[in-house]
Order: sequence, then C-alpha cells, then structure tokens
Amino acid sequence: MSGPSPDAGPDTGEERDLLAAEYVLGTLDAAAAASLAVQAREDPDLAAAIAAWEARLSPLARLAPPVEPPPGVWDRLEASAGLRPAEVVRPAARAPAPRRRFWQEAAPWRWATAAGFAVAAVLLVVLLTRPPSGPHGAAALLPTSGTGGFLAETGPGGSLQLSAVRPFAVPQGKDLELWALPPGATQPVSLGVVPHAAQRLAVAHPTVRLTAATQLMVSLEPRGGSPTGKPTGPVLFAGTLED
Amino acid sequence: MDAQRRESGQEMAAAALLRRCAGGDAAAFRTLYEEQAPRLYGLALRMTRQPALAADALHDAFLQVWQQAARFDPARGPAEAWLTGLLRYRAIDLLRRREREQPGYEPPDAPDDGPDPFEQLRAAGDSAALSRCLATLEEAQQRLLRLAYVDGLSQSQLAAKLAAPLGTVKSWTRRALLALRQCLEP
Repeated sequence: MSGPSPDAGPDTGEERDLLAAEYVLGTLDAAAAASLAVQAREDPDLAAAIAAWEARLSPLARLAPPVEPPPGVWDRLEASAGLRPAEVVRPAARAPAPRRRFWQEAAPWRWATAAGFAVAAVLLVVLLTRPPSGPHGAAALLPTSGTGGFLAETGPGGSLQLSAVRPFAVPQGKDLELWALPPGATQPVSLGVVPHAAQRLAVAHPTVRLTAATQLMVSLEPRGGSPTGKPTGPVLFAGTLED
Repeated sequence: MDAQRRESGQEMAAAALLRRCAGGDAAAFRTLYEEQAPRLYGLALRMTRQPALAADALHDAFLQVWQQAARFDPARGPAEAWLTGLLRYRAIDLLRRREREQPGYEPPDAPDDGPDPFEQLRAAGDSAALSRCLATLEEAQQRLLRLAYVDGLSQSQLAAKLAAPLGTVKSWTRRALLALRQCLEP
C-alpha cells in the first residue's frame, strides 16, 4: 500500500532519507506526510531515518522561548487520558472530557443550554435507578451541541444496547453511526448504523471488548454509514462506559 | 558547562519518565508534562501564532505521549527530540487544516529574529554542532530551514515568503538538508 504521494516513487535509500528529512522539517504536503508516517510504522529503517532527522533538527526548537501553558491544558489532558478517578455519573461535568480526541471537527461542546442539562438529568436518573446488573456497564451519550441523548448498556456476553432518550431528527440522506474507542486505542471501531425508525441498536457481538472507560460516540454519516470505516461526519453524541 | 549538565540531566529524566509512562505511571506523566510542556508550548505558540491552536497541539501531543510512550525507542534518538517531533507533527496537522479551511490565511509575521537568529543555539551545549553546520549554509537556506521548522510554514507558504517558485524552494530545501547531514556526519 503506497500512499497517494508521487514523491514516494524511487525507493532508494537516499531518496527515502530525504523524504524522512522533509517529513521532519514539515515541508511535505499533508498526503505525502501521512503516507510516510504510515509506512514508518511497518518499516524500521524508515522509522530510524525519521528519528535520526528528529535528533539532528530538534535543537532548532530552542529558537522558540518556553512559555507556561494555560492550566486548562492539563485539566483536559487528565480527562482525555482517563487519569481522573472514575466517578460514577456526573454527566455535565464529565461529558466534555473526551473532547478533541479525534473528532476535532465536531462543533464545540455547548453546555449552557438548559435542554442539555435536562437530558443530562434524565440520563443521570436512568443510570442511577437501573437495577444492579452485575458486571455490566452503561454510558450516557450526551449531545456535543443541541439536544437529545442516547443511553448505552452492555449486557451478557459483551452485547450492547443503544437507545435514544428522545427521538432525534436525522437529516435527510444521513444516518447515525455508533463507534467505540476502547481505552488506549487510537482508532474508533464501528458498532453499526442506528436504524432510523426505532433509534435503537442492539449489538449482539461487538467487534471490540466494551470494557469500562471505553468511549462511545454517535456520528452523523452518509446514508448507510461511513464509507471509510472511520467517522467522517461530526460526532453528535459522546460518553464513556462506566462499570 | 552547568547548562550542558542540566540539559543532559533533563534528557535522561525525560527518557526514564517516558519508560514509566509506557508502564501506565500517571505520576511520571505529570512530571514529564511539568518539565516539558513550557518548552513544547512555546514552540507550538511560535508555530501556530494562536494560543487556542497551540493549546490543542500541546494537548493532543501529550495524549499521544500517554497512549504511545511504548513506541519511544531510546536506541533511535533522544527522548526530547521524540517529544518535539510529536508536538510539531500535531501542530503542522492543525496548521495545514487551517490553511485548507481558510485559504489565503496569512499567519502574522514571526517576531524579528535579530541579526543573529541562531544565537541561542550557540549558547546551548547540545546544539553547538547544528549551529556550526547551519553557518556553512547560504543565508537563504538558513532562513528557509528556520521558517519551516520553527514557524511551521508549508512549502507553498515558503514559496510565497521567499518569492521563489515551488520547485525551486523544494530543491533548496533538499540541498540544505543534504548539506546539513553531511556536515553533521562527515
């Protein structure tokens, strides 16, 4: 699988070393850079060439004086890296945590809406009042903006049930798709397209183990689901599985 | 020489902290962040010229550090260079995205580097060799490397800035990099 880069042509050591150098410098176009980064995962020689250029050029970074980062960055990091002690449910406080994991294009979280809090409250009640269900988990998928929400519950044999808290108007020609991102994973895995009419989805045998701290999200995709196997549209709802 | 000793101490610390991060040690991650974030945020800020974008780059890069610390291979290079790489790739992604979304966006000019832009490098122990080798390059090549590495300019932004055709900029870049490699590793 070679990437779309026309530069990746001649596979001589010298050409590859220059590509590695341009990659580190940042002057490859986005497609060529992405393709080289993928190749480097499979090719230890290329990875070594990149590391050698990183080492050669990194003293240049000193030209930028250190600046104390805003404290919010660490707070966000603690949340997104899952470093906070697991609290059972505090949807309004927890929900912004998974921000910016890989759906950076999604609209910013807008929590100030009363509707958002109302749904959060409903989900909170649902989560707190559901019967003790052994080792099973649940997640409240809250809206990244706007209203609505989904509740996800895991069941026996690793199955998962997703249901809309209230009907969500799916735009014409679009579908909602459910994704899971287990802790430590970098790519979300599709759990399926949410049927329009029922707005419920039962996944009997998910392709990933839905352990606690797995992030679940619902994205807006073209009819029939993402054509690429990865979320292509904005993430509309997101939450984290809790035990 | 004190500065040099402190630098190599920090480098060793960063490598050890990364190893502990790979084992899931959250305290080590926090320490690594405290030690490295100001340096990396300063770089992100210089590259993006936007505090929000710089904060995103820093956040994303450190999230990657936490998730992929096991990928760091000390045999291949120093830990700080690896961290710098993660931050820069992330900042570059964000910059190129902004370029796509706001075509024609002109980043504000970089602060004036003064008559000797590489002065800081000579003062630092680990970068003496690089600064000596940079000095052997033509001035235009030095400027090009600085604009690309520190200011995050893309190939087309470089062409506009240096008022040269894209192909010419590309061959200048490659010649500068080759000369640098030859000088650093004769």
